[in-house]
Parts: sequence; C-alpha cells; structure tokens
Amino acid sequence: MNLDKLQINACIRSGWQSVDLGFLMARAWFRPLYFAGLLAMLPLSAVLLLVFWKSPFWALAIIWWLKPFWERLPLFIASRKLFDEEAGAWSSFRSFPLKDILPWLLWRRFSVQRAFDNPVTVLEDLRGGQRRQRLRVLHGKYSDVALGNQFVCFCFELLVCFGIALMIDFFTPESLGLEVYDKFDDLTLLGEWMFTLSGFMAMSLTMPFHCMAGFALYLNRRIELEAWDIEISFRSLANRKRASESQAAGLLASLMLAVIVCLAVPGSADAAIDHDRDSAAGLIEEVLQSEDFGQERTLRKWRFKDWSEEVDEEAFPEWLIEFLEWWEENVDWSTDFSGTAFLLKIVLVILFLGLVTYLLIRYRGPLSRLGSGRPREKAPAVLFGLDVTPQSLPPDVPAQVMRLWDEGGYREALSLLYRASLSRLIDKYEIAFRASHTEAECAALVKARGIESLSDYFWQLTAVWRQLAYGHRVPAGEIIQDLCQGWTTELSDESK
Amino acid sequence: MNDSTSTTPAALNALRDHINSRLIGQSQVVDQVLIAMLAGGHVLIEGVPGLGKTLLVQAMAAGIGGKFKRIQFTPDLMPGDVTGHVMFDMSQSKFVLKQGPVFTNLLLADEINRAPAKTQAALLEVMQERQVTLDGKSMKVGKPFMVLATQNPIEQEGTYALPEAELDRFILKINIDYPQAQDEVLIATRYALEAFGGDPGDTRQLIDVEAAQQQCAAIEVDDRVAEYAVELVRATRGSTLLRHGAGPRASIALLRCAKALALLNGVSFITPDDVKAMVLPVLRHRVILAPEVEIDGLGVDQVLANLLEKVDAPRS
Repeated sequence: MNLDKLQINACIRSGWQSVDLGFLMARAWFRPLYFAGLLAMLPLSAVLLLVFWKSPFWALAIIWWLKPFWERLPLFIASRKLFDEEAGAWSSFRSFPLKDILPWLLWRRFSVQRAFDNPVTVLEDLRGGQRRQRLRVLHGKYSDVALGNQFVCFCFELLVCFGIALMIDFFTPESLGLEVYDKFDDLTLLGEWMFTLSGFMAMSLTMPFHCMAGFALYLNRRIELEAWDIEISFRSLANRKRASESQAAGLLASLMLAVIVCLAVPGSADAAIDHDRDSAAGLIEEVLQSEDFGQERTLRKWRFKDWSEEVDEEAFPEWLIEFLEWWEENVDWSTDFSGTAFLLKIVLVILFLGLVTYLLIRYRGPLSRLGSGRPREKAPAVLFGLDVTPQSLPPDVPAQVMRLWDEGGYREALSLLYRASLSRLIDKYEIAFRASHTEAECAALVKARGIESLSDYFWQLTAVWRQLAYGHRVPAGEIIQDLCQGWTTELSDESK
Repeated sequence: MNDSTSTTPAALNALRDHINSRLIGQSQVVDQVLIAMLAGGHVLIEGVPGLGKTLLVQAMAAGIGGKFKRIQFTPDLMPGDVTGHVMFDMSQSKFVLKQGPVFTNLLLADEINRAPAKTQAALLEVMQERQVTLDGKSMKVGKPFMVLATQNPIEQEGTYALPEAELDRFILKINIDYPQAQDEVLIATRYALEAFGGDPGDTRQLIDVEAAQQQCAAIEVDDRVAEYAVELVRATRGSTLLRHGAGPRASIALLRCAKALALLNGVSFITPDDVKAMVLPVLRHRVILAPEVEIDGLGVDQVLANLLEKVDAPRS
C-alpha cells in the first residue's frame, strides 16, 4: 500500500460525504467495476436460470442471496485502482477473492452493513477474533450511515428493477401478443422472466455504487484512525525537503517529524497490515509510556448514572406517595374529568419547561453571544509586509506624512499614510483584510462597510498610492495635503 | 486615478462599444477577447452552441477592418484544409498554390476539438510563428492575426482533447455563458426582425491593431508586480490539488494580459489587481487537476481561486 499513489484526497469526511465520495468513485471507475460484477455473476446466473427456467424467480432469489459473493470482485478492483494499480476485470477474475465466503453466505448474509464490513474480509483477510476486534473499532462511527447506505441502495435497486420491467411492459406493442399477466392478473412465465431479468440488471447496476459507498466509509474510518492525511502531508514535506539540497537540516527535521508521527499515531497505514500485531501492541505500549502520553489530566463532565448499582425498589420517593394520596382523596376518576385535565395540564407544563430547559442548554453557546455581537477576530500585526499595529504609528500621522513629503521622501510619506489608514481600518472598523487582498479588493471591503465618505477617501488614497507605487508617478503636493486632511476627518481618533 | 494613454482608449472604447452593440450581454467576453487581441495572443472559447461566438468574431473583424474566415472542424478535416495546399493546374500546366483559410486576420476555428490531433497540430505553426510552410516555402499570414477557437463543454463523444502543447498556445481560455434574462429579451426581439445569424455591422477600421499592440507592449511593469505574477504561476506547481502546474509561458501570458487590461482601462502601468483579474482565464487551461480533486467534483476555477488566496499580494 503506497499512500503516495492514493487516488482520493485523504481528508476526514462526514459519513454521508464519504458515501458521496463512494458514488463518485463508482462513477469514475464504473466500467471496470460494472463489468467485473457482471463477469462474476454471469456464468453461475446463466446456469441457475437454465436450471430454473420454469420458475425463474427461484434463480433470482439465489442470485440475490449470493450478492456478497458477486460484490467481492468490484471491491478487489477498486482497492487496486485506489492506489493507481492496473486491475482489469478479467485479470482480477482469475485471482477471485474467495476467503471466508461461507459465513458471508450464511449468517452474515443478514448483515445490514455488508458493504462497510466487506473490506475487512476481502482486503485485510481477517477472521475470527481479529475480525471482530477490527469491526468493533471500525463500527465506532458510521454504522448508522452504512445501514442507511444499504437501505437506500436496496430501495433504489427495487425502483430500477420495477422501472425496467414496467418500461418493457409499456413499450411492448400489443400486436406482438406477448402476455405478461394472465386472466387472474398473475404473472405469466414471460412476466416472471421479464421481472427476473430486470432484477438481474438492477442488481448489477446498483452493485458498484453500494460497494463503493461502503468502501469509502471504510476508507474514511481508516484515514481517521490511522491518520493517512497527516502521513501523506509529512511524506510530501519530506520529499520537498529532500529535493532541496541546500536545506539538509530541514530534511532531517521533517524526516524526524515523519518518524515521530508514524510512531505516535496508533498504527500507521502500513502498520495496520504489515506489522506483526504483537510487536505493534508493544510499540504502542512503549509510546504510551513516553513523556508525551504519560501526563495525567482531570476532566469533569456529565455522564449517565450507573444503573447497574443496586437500587432499593421499595423506596418510592416521598413526594410521589404524597401526591398519589392527594390524588386519590380529591379526584373521582369515574365522574370528574377536571382532575384528569389538571393532570394533563401539569404534564404539559412539565414537558414545556423541560423543552425550554433543553433548548437553553443545547443553544447556550449562540445565546451567550446574543447582544455581544460577532466575536472579534484577532487583528493582524503585520499585513502585506507592513506593520499595521496602532502602536507602530506616529502620534500625529498627517504631520509626520507632510514632514516626510517636504523632505523629499515621497514614497515613505505615502506609504506611511496608506499603512496608517489600513491600521485604523483594522482597529477602528474591524475590517478583516487578508494578505492575499490587492489594493482594489481592500477598497471594495471598505466600501462594503457602507460609509460613503470613508469609502471615497480610501479609493482616492488607493488610487494615488497605486500611481506612485506601480506607476512611479509622484502626485502633486496639494493632493497629499488633501489626503492628510481627509485622514484627520475620516480615520483619526477625533473622527466620528 | 487613470494616467491616460494617448488616443488608444477612445478608439478601444469605440471598438468595444461596436462589438457590444452587436453581441449583447457578453461584455466580459468581449473585454477578454480584446485583451487577447491587444496582447497578441489567441483565445480558446468554451461554451454551448448558440451564444454568438461567430457574431463576436464577425463584429470584431468588421471593427478592425480586417478579414474574417471560419473553419468548421470535423473528424475528416485534413491539415491541408486549414493551411492550404499545392495543386497541379491542368490549364496552366504548373503547380499552383491554394492558400487555406488561415490567410486572414481573424480565424474562427469552430469546435476545434472535433478534428484529430494531426489537423489541430496544423494550427500550431501558424499560431506560434504566424507563418505557414507550404511546399517548403514559408509564407506569412495576415497582420494582425488571431485565432479564436471554440469548443463545446457538453458533448465529449467523438472529440479529441487538445494536447497541452496546443492549449499552451492560447493566451486565454474564455468561458462564455448564457446572457442575463433582460439581455436575452433584447437579443430575441432584435434578431427576430433581422436575418438569422445577426448583422456584424459595417466594416470600418476603428482601431489600428498593430499600433495598439505596440502601445500595450510599452505599458509599464513594476518589479514587484512582475514578481507577484510569477509567484501566482509558481503556486500552481507546488499545489497538491494540481497534477500539472503552469509553465513559464503562463507567466509571460499573465503579464501581457495584465498590460492589455491596463490599456483597456486607459492606464499606463499595471497593478496587482490587473494581474489577479487575469489569473483565471490565463491559467485555467494550463493546469491539470489532481485525480482526487476531480473525483471530489472540484473545478479548475475553484482550485485556482483557492490558490489565489494563498499568495500574498504585494504592496510595493
């Protein structure tokens, strides 16, 4: 397994994003996956259809039951394509993965997360306890998505099956005299064959999508558990460093980092398969004993009560007993409905208060920010290579600008005025400039603040600045005087 | 703000208005085509059929007082059909040269990806060298010369993707989209009255293209802006999102187009804004997405926009 050749972007996705990726993979590699599935299905299916030619539904049922068997070849091919290895349908067919097939056709046939679990058997070749242990780790997340994937694919398969059958039925000219239903609206043999072949086509068409969605979930879980993304990043960092001969020290550092990460991440990508499990466990133990993992922290959090503790069932709460006694004395169940209504009212009030409390706790974060406005982002100290902190500015910016200008330091003077303006816009108006913003983009952000005079001023300043900086044209002294005056009006401490 | 150049902005505006009056609702495309013309390059236009690509070229040819020819690329088109060929004239008993449609000022290569690589390559020499070699003799094509090639983004069956070497020859790749609703109403009402296909307008030279190109070349470039352009291009090479980044020809094209944009805006120097504005059309056909990014469904423009965010803009 060479992670450098990984054909998907190794990043953490949500469960349904992984399913989406799986569908994209199925689309990208549809032809080999589809033909691989078909190649696996066709010979045995043909035999079954010949044997059960008078009741083809039986053949369809067996073909459907053997789905875990058919799904192995597409999965095998996808696992090769994932690492940019050539995997033709026929060559893969010759090395058909038959490991552990019997349980998959018996009790595991009822698994509702088949596509998610399949790679553990087909690709990792794990059985028995090891397989159970692996699945327990994998099922820590995305089991619900795997179940959803199976259900959606099942529904889609049914839709496609009926869609194909009905399309054939509707578009068959009556003049051909082909009867799909008999007089009692039961399917004729022709009708059964039509539905059987439609079912076969639907199964073969949906199989790549179902398999790839489960495979993508499996991959996502492994990326998450084994930090493939971090490993790939460090490898690319190490490669880049290696390419740069002049940065030998950097290479050493990045390689060390890569080694540290490989050790620190429990079970790197290769380790999951290649390493001996006992030695890996020992290595993990060793890493956990290291200084980084040897720290103790005290965490406080809410958890459910331990219900396994012995509870004295006899001990009813006192208030409940009192309430029931009061109820018995004051309410006649047989005639008085107002008592029932009162009880319902209490229940509704309790439910309402509970709901309000839940909502207050659930949305306490956003609620706490209400009224205080958007949290202010930390203002950058250096932007576009310029120091834009208020402390870096002289006490009287216009005076300093004019002094520099009179001394002939045109560029320094205008640079100071532009820098001071940026600093004030960040500090006073909280405009979030980014280092990638050009002058016009900065001016557009200022305009977006909706203060017309400020926007006009900054556009004018930007224009003059660009003429000097890029056009090397020195503006007239009066323009600078106007800009300094404008700065006092729009951006100084005294400005509104 | 503008340090206006001599007379060209007025002439350019006249040409721009002339084309915009014929091709409605595609002012951005018109600007980009004019930029390519001023930069002395060729353009690849991608868009569905029926958006007025032919009319654009016709109107442009009419505006510059030049000749216009069109080649419909098909799978059986031969290189000789593009460049021309030498044939034996029985009546004169000698070989005569038959010039192909490339001997013009504006050449519309319609659906260029429908022809096989051999025919596409016939355009390479003329696009780069602005000359054609026929029967061992090199002949210059008209001045100015510009190829406007089109391709359809939807129908990919039976097409031949343009090789990277040829794609690199196009200075810009322009995406042409459907016009806005109000523009479409205007188009529908105007052209419903006219002959089908639209009228490119009277042929009159509104601009001296060669003089404008020389003026474009003379636009001032600050060192920091040039460095910024190169940094943007180089950012495509180290990105993991791209399998193949843009080459040095992209840096040249980016600066030339930024100059043309400045000239079109009537300014005699370029700014980082001019460079940034031209990044997408200059680079989108010169980079190749990484397979995983394609599988994730991201487009070239999205990836390039992402890279733009990572390059610091200069403050000279």
